[in-house]
Amino acid sequence: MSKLGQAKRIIFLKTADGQLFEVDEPVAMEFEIVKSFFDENEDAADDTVVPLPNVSAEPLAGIIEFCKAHVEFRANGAAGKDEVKKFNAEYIKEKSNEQLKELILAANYLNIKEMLDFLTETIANRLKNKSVEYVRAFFGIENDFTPQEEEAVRKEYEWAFEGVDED
Amino acid sequence: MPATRTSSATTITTSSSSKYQASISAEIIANNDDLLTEILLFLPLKYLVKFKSVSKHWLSLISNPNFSLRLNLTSQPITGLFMRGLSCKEYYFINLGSSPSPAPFKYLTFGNNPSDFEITIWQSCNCLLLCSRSNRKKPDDHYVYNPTTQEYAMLPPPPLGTGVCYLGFNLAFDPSKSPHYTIICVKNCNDFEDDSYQIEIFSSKTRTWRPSRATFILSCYASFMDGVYWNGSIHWINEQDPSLHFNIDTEEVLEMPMPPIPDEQYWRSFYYLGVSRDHLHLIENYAPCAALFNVYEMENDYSGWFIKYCVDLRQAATTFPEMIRSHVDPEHFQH
Repeated sequence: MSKLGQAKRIIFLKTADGQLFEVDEPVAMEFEIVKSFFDENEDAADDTVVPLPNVSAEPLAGIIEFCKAHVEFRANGAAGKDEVKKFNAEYIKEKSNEQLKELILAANYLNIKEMLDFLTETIANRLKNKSVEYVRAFFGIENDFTPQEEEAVRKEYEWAFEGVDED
Repeated sequence: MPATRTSSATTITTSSSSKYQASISAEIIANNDDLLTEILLFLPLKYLVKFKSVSKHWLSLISNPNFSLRLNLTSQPITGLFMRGLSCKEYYFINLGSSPSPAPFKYLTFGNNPSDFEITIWQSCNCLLLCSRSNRKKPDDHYVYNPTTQEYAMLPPPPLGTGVCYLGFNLAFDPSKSPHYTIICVKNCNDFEDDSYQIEIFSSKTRTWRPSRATFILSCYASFMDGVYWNGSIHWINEQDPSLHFNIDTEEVLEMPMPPIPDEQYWRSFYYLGVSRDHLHLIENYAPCAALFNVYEMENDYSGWFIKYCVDLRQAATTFPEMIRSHVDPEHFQH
C-alpha cells in the first residue's frame, strides 16, 4: 500500500511479442536486469519503456504474479513461512512442464534469484523417479551413446536404476 | 499506444503442449550448462548417477569434479556410525542425521572379492572411507571407497626401500577445498634402533606417491593407522611421546598439546579421536569406572583442549549392565 501523497511509480516493460506491461516499481525491481537498467540510466524518464527482447508476455505475466506475491510476503514479514510454501505449491500446481520451462528461461534472463531457485528445484522434483528416456524427452536431448556405451554406463551404476517409474 | 496489460493480469492462455515434444525452450535449457547445473544440484545423488546415461553431455557435466565440488557444498551428507562385530562381516549402521537414511551398505566388497578376504574400514573422512583388504600376501591392498556412489579406487603400494615398512595410511579429503583426496603414509626402517620416521604423500589427482621432506623422531610406538584429518592436518595420538600432527600444505610435523597424563598413570589412555562438525574431539579415560569420562575439544589455534562434555553413563550402565562388557568392536565413523 502506498502512503498518501507518495506517488506509486509504475515501470513499463515491453515483451518480445510487443505487449506492454505496467508493473509496480518494487515488483519490477525484483528483476535484476530491470534494476540495473535504471541504475545505469538514473535520469531515465518516468515513462521509459524497458524492452525485454527475450521474454514473451505469457511467462512474464506468470513471473509478475509470483514476484508481486513474494514482495508482499516480505513486506508482511511472512517470508519463509507456511503461507509462502502454500502459495508456491498452488502457483506451480497448474503449470505444465512447457510453461515451467518458459518460466525458468524468462526468470533466468530477468535474473530473479529467488524465483530461479524455486523453479530449478521444481524441475528437479519433476525429474525424480523418472526414467532416462523421460529426461531426454523433457529436454529434447538426443541419445548420442552407442548401445554398447550406454550399456556400459548403465551397468556401472545398475543400483541407481532400481525402483524407477515407467514414465 | 500498444495494448496494455497490468500487473494484476492473471489470465494466462494455457499452453497446448502439455504432452511431451522437444520445444525450443527445452533445447535452450538443455544447452545452458549453468541452468542445467542448478537443476541437477537439486537432485538426489541416486538420480544424478542414473542420469549420467542421458547423453555424453550429461555424463561429462555430472562427472566433472567442479560439479561434485558444488554438490558436496550444497548437499547434506549421510551422518552415522558403522559398527561391526569382531568376527562378523556385516556392518550395522546407526543413522545420526536428522532425516531417515538407510544403511549405505551392509557388506563391503570391492570388485572380485572372495569372501575369505577380510575388508576393514580404517578411517572415514568427509564421506570417503579408507579400507584395507587382507590379501594373504603382505602388504594388504588399500582402497578409498565412496559409499554414496559405490565407487572405489585401489591405491598403488607406496614405494618402500629395502628394510623399510609402512606403519599406516591416513586419508585427507576436504571437498570444500579440492575434489581430490590425499593419502599420507608413515614409514620407517624395520629396525628397532632407528627412531626416525618418513612420510609419503599420494594425491588422487596425479595418482602417484611422492616423498615428503618431513621426517621426525619418536622413541615409542604411535598408532599411525588411526590418524584423523582436521584443519588441514593429520593427527596422531601417542601414548607416551608427544602427540603429533602433520600439516599437508606445509609438510611440517608439529607437536600437539595434550591433556596431562595423571601422576599414577604411565600411559595415555585414549578411547577416541575424531572429528564432528568441523571440531576435533578426544575422549580419554582414567577413571576407575569406564562409564565416567570427559569429551575434549581442540581449540582451532591448537592452544589446547577444553572439556566439551562430562559424560556419566553410570545410570545407563545400571539399566543395561551388558553395555560395560560389550563384544562389539566399536569402529566409529563419522560421515
